[in-house]
Amino acid sequence: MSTKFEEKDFSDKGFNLPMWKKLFIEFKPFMKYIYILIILNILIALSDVIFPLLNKTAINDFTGDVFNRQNFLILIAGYFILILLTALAHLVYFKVAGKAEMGFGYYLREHCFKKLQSLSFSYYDVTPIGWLMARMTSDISRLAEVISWSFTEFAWGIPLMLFATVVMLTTNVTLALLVLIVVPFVAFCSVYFQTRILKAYREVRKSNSKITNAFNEGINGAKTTKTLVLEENNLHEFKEETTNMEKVSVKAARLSGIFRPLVQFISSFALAFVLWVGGQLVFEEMVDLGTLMMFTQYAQQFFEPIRNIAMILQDIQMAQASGERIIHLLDEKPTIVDKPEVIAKYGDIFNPQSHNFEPIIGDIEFKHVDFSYIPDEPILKDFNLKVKHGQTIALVGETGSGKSTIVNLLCRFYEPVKGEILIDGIDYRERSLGWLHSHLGYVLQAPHLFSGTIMENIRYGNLNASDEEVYEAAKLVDAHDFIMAFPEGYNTDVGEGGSRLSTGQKQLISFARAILAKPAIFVLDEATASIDTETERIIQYAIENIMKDKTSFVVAHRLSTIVNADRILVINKGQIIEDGRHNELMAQKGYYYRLYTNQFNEDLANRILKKA
Amino acid sequence: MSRFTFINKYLKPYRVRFCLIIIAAVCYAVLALLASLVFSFIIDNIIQGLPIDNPFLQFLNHLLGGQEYIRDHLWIIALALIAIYAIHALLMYYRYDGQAVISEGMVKGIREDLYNHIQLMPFANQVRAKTGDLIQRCTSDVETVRRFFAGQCVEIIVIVASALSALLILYSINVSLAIVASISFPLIFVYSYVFFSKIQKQFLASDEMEAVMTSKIQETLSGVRVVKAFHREKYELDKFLDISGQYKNVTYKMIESLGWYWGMSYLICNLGILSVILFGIFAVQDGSLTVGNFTVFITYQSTVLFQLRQLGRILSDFGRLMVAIDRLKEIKEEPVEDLESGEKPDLDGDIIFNNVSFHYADDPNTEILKNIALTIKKGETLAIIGPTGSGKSSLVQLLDRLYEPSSGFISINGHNINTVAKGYLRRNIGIVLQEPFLFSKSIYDNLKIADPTLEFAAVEKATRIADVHDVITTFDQGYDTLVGEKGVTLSGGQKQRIAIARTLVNNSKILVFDDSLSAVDTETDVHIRHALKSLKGDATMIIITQRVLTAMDADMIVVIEDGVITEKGNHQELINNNGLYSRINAIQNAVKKETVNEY
Repeated sequence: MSTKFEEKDFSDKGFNLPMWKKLFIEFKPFMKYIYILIILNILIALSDVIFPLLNKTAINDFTGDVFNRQNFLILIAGYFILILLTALAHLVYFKVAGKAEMGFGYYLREHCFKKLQSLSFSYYDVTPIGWLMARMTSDISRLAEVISWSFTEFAWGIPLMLFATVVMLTTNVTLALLVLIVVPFVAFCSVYFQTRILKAYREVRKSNSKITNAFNEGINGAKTTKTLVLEENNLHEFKEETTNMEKVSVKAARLSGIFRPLVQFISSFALAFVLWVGGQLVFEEMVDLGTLMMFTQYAQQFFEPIRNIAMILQDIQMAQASGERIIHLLDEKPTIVDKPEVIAKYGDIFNPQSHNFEPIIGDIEFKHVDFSYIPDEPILKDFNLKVKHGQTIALVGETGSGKSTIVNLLCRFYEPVKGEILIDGIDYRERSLGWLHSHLGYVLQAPHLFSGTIMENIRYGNLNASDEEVYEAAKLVDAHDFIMAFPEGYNTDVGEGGSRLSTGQKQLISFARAILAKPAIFVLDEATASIDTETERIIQYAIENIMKDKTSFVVAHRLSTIVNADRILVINKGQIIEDGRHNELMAQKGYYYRLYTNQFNEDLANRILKKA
Repeated sequence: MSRFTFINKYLKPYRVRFCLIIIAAVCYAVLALLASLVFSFIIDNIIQGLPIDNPFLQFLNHLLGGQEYIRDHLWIIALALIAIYAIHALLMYYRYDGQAVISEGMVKGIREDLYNHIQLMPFANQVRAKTGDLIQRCTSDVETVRRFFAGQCVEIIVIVASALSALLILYSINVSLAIVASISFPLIFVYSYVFFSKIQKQFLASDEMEAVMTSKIQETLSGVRVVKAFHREKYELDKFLDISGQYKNVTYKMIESLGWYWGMSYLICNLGILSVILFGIFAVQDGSLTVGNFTVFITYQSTVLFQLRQLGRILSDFGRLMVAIDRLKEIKEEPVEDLESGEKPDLDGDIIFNNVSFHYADDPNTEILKNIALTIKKGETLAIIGPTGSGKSSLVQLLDRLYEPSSGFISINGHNINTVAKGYLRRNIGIVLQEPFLFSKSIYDNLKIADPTLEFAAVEKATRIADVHDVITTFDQGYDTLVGEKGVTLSGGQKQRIAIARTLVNNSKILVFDDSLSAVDTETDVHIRHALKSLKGDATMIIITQRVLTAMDADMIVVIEDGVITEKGNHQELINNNGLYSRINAIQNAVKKETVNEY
């Protein structure tokens, strides 16, 4: 289980075509939006190019001595319709891009979520939750945003420049060339500065997270700071970081402070050339006033798409990294899956055919089971165990002895590398995961509750249970009274992860949840956390109650549970080294005896200290 | 403290520069307007040879050698234009550079003040503060202030100046057309302002829904084992899709609103421009407007409209800025501790608790400590033992003046500690906390955190006493190993031992161990105490513990139950006392004898 999680490095690569191909297959249902967006962008670009043309007509045809009333009305109507259509295009653009962005995000999240649900425990053992969270949130958001907005921005910029170039060239080649000659300079300047600006802001973000962290430590470590009188040293160090922050921020701001005026300055050459040469041409009556005006407008408009080019490229690059990580997750294969013929009969995890599920009696057999988390580091080797239904089995042993592995295998959270596990005489791989898990009552060492009410949490064990059945289950584990003691009773919100309840209370609720599932097999990974004497007595009572005539496996830390077990298995290095009832094992004076006496004393000492 | 006083403190050093960049910004905004006049100058005055009535153009004309000369040498005007844009660019750069220096400098000061202020808040207030809220103030509220001074603030002035100058020029050219042009100005401004004030709610709704979705994902992932064990994959998927769908819908609504805004504001701006074109043509027709000035109207109209749209947006943010300043001010208005004022007497002597009682300020009915009377002789070791919540740790916090007694007083070497400077007092008392906090830096830096000049030999000596040197050297990077997220994860026992070493390096005359060996196994416990005993010399030691083993060697042992001293004496005396101590001791002996049957 100690396999270290290593994140694949997705950064700083060229254009990853196969990835984008895969991604666009995912994106297929949304392609229609992209087509619409491209068309809209082309239309908006067209409108941006037409406006100066209309202005030209306005000046040429209607400021002179001849004034054609009808043409004038056509011109004004033309303006009006163009404005209306372009405004509409903007609105539709937002609507469609929003649809694409949110729809694709939703779609990707659904697929990733399904994938995450189907991945096995072994995946979660080595993958930090924080990593998965980032995939599900920021990566998906960024990818959906860039595909819907930035990608299509090319569809505005390129046609705009294309149309404008065509209009300019067909109108007057000399003036057109004077505008175009400045393009490479602006382009170079944009790429040069923007890559540096983006890099500089990366430094700013880095420094910023250090400062946030410093605030965090300053607050969380306040007591340590006070007792060691570190205030001055801390402030001194903090000032080093804020000084660095100031430095990198000013540097980044300065770069963009040069960039914007510089691009405007370079663009002004186009304007100056046009006025100089254009003015000359007007004198020579080669060019009319309206045309000159049109060129000055193009000379300013033309550079806008170029200015943002590096920014968009960077967006796409970041989206590519996000896309790679998402595809990586979607490509992940669960290690534990049902065979196709099993799925055909019992359904998959999202569409179980529960009516085909056979009941479980509870006879369990491990037959020559080998298991390892990491190849060549076997945890179990030729492990054999036969359990009759209705028995309570306690597993005892040191951390890493393999006792948790045994119950995890039983639950099919992992599968044997070799050998088989039989439930009621049938290899459990011949039945579905859903079949086994819906007959399982599982209580974790650290009870995990979901945010919501107590009622909802208990009902998690059986979604169809009536309120009465929930009360029943709670009463069975003696949780009813403390639940009713809350002002809102069963409707009490447990808080995120059950944070508003004590560990003992959480444990009782997770017991009630397991009972409500009416399982055939019980698995208890018992809590080590010290719970006060009163609660401990209650839990003890609950355990005995719920394990009656069910096949139960208890990974035991608490002695009182072990004492009453039908069989105690002492596990050491993946082997059963002692097997029997409490009295028998005590009489052997072996490993169990030593373990028991030590723990017993620790327990007693703790109890006396905690009594108050 | 008013908002202005708060901000002014940080703005003050930059006042002159601040005024200069505003002047520069206003200058280049006006210059940009004037540059557009050049075009009309060429059309009207050079090409058509009309007389010049605009004073700026008269000046320009004069400067460049008159209409005739310019007509023959048109390149001059191109050069002049480039020159104007060069000055424009320089002024613009001056503004961006200045506002970066000012805003970053201000924010640096704010951050440092906040950080220091939080550090110096009395411990009781620090405990009460909500970490998340404080951090948010120190980060996103500071960011709001920064953004304002990094641009918005100057932008407001620039827009107002530019719009007013444009209007002035337009009115001087043609009053009736200027009135037509002005109609759309307030429209776009108000529309923009109202829209962005209103859409905040939708932004918020989207953010909140995203947070709900994020915590749903978080919860399902951290509880994935439970989900699987109960075969609830479908159930969780349905729940998630419901939330994800809601997030999709609220965010889409927000984007849709933005779409309406961009569409509508496009419409308003361009209809405004169209009205100027329409009436402009009429004016040209009836001779009250030149063609060149017509182009000036069109250009200014669009410039000002888009600026006003921006202004509406900035001003709608103003409320948030005020809230941010208020929230930062609140932190600064919290009281702080004075660490340095007070006496700094010799504290090498007996510690006496004189009938000390203590309750928390916000809960006067629950006495944590009641009439504690206790003398610890210089150089002796006192052990305090008792159940959790009995008040042991409060005793230590009073000694270090993290809290003040509600009655009675504590004296060290005959000096009431209330008169001693807090910083001095704390420096003289070495406390190892129950749950020590290590900073995310190297182990070595953590060890010498109180005195960065410390030599390695001194550090190593301490780590050997704390029995942690051998652990540290097993790490790949030894003493340079980073602690925390980016480095090694230390066990509770390892943390405690590093904290012990961190305190030992200071050679304090008073050492306090606040249950700081609880996560260490008994063997190591014995080892550490043995080493301490041989080292401590004449230091006074207070050990708080739950283990008899740890307490038994002390010169005096005190049992505290429910805030009251119930037993006092040495190990042997307490054994004979038949109280809590002897009961705990009995169990400890039981371990040795391995007798189970006594249970």
